[in-house]
Amino acid sequence: MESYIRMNNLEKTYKAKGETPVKALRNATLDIAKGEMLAITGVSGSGKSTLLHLLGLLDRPTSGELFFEKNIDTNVRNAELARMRNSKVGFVFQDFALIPYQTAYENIEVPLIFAKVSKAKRQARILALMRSLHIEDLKNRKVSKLSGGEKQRVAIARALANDPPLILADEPTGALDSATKAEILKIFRDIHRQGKTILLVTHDPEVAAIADRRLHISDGILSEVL
Amino acid sequence: MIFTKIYLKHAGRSFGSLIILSLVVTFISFLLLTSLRAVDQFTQISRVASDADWRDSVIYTRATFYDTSTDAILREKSLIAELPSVQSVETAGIQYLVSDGTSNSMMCFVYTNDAFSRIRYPLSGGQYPAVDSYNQVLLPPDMRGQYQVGDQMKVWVLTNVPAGTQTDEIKAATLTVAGFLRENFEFAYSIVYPSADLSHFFVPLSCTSLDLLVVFGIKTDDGQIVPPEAAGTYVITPKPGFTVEQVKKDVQSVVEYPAYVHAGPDLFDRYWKENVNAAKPVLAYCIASLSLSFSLLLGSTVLSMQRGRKTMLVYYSLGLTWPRTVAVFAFQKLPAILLGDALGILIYTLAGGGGLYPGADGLFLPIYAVITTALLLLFFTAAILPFYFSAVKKSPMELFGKE
Repeated sequence: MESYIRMNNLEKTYKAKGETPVKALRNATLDIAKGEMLAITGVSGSGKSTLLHLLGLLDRPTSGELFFEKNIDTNVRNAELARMRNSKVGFVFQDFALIPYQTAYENIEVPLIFAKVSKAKRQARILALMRSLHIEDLKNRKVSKLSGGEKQRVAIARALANDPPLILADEPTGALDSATKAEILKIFRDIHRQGKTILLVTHDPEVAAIADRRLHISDGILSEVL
Repeated sequence: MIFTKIYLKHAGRSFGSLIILSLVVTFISFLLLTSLRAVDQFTQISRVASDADWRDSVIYTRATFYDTSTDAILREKSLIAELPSVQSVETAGIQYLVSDGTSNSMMCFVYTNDAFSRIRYPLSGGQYPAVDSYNQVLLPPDMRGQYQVGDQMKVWVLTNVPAGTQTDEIKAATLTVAGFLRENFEFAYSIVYPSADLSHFFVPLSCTSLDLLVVFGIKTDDGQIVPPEAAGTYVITPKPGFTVEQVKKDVQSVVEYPAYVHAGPDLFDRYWKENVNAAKPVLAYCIASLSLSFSLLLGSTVLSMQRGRKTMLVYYSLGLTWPRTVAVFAFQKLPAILLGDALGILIYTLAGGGGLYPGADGLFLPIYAVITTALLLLFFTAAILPFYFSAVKKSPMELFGKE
């Protein structure tokens, strides 16, 4: 199997002034194939989010190698990392991470603006995404007025806006009721069928069950769940 | 472009804070403008006097309540000129004119001699005429509406001869406008305070009913050179090797009013002390206002960054670099600074200053707006930059943890 994403002995240590350094991730080694859906489980504080931040290029590892389509130089310029985040990664968070005072349309538009997509193309892309996620009637609604399920659909639409190959989801159903959770999981399955690589971080077994492969993280150590 | 778009979207959002901060900045901007004007006006008198070599001169004024006849003035001038420590002594020259068209009375300072021709006021248009020119006149600022540079004005002039002969004859003369004085500063020629300072000589004479002109020489239309009337202010230049203090003592020994002999440096010193004392309360006021606005600016910026931290993480995760993300929020108050500054400038020009400083007029020059804006931006940057760099130095994950 050819690796689409590879982590080799990836480590992350947080050092706060005057405090003992904390190793949030230890020697993490992992291969992810293109189009694979992975679930990572673990208790709070186990290092799940740190792993997600490193894979999502939100943070730099203390040591180790990261391969994502190509070798990522961990000292690469901020602008290059930002460009990759914008084009290669879509994020979905438990708390939706939407800008509350903007409309659904405006929220989905942000990554497209960062990608310098023309206004006409932005509009076409956003409307297509909204239609596919059945939220076209929410176009002009402020996201602060939306239900949890609606917000998460808007967040998923935003994650897909630039058609990134990798979707990283951190407890995507954590704030939803069971009926809405089922709808959101169905959306993730659909996205997976379209060939996206998806990494779900969760401690919900029902969510983890939809993944092709499961990993567990504990005290910063990553292990495969057989 | 992207940054600007996102920046403007957020900067315009907190309308209430924009207005409050703008009003504070309006006040600061107004205060800065009035202070700038006062400083410019204050230093300008000093610059004009300094350029005219008054630091190296002795100034003497005859008391106006005694004999101020031309004869008495010239007699005392001769006494001073004969002193071995004196290189030259020159008196101010004045001439009264009446405008042909309007019958307005005008007083001309006729700078026929070297010491007085070195007194150069800032102009708002035109240029200083040549020292040996005739009938090239500099008009006060309030005559700009009536004349333009190059215009001619017909006047009536007294072709007086030294006092006592009573043979004055009124003749016509044609003056050409060479330029306009920027302000109403004119040379006061009969100041008799023992503790006079520069401001008593170079005073804004806006209260006078006369229009005050400057000219280097006047000829009547029939070609007669009009001698100016000697005024009782003497500028005395020491001979090389003699100090101003020595000359002052020598002059005091021969003149009728020794208390009114001033060493040039004393006039500067007294002027400086007088103005610094007057400026102290306003300076304290300025510092207090700046401190208040500094706290307000910093506080509101910290608050907007705190409130916007989730949005910052969203922008960062969606592809904005961290320094730019921080900049969107750290510099959110910049429009309030610019808006407040513009309002401050507008109010200053409409109010004509505001009279915070005793004696300062409300003249507005574009350079004041440039300096005020630059100072405010510098002040703003100084307040925000350390905060900005400290935020940028950390990674967003360090700064916001699990948020």
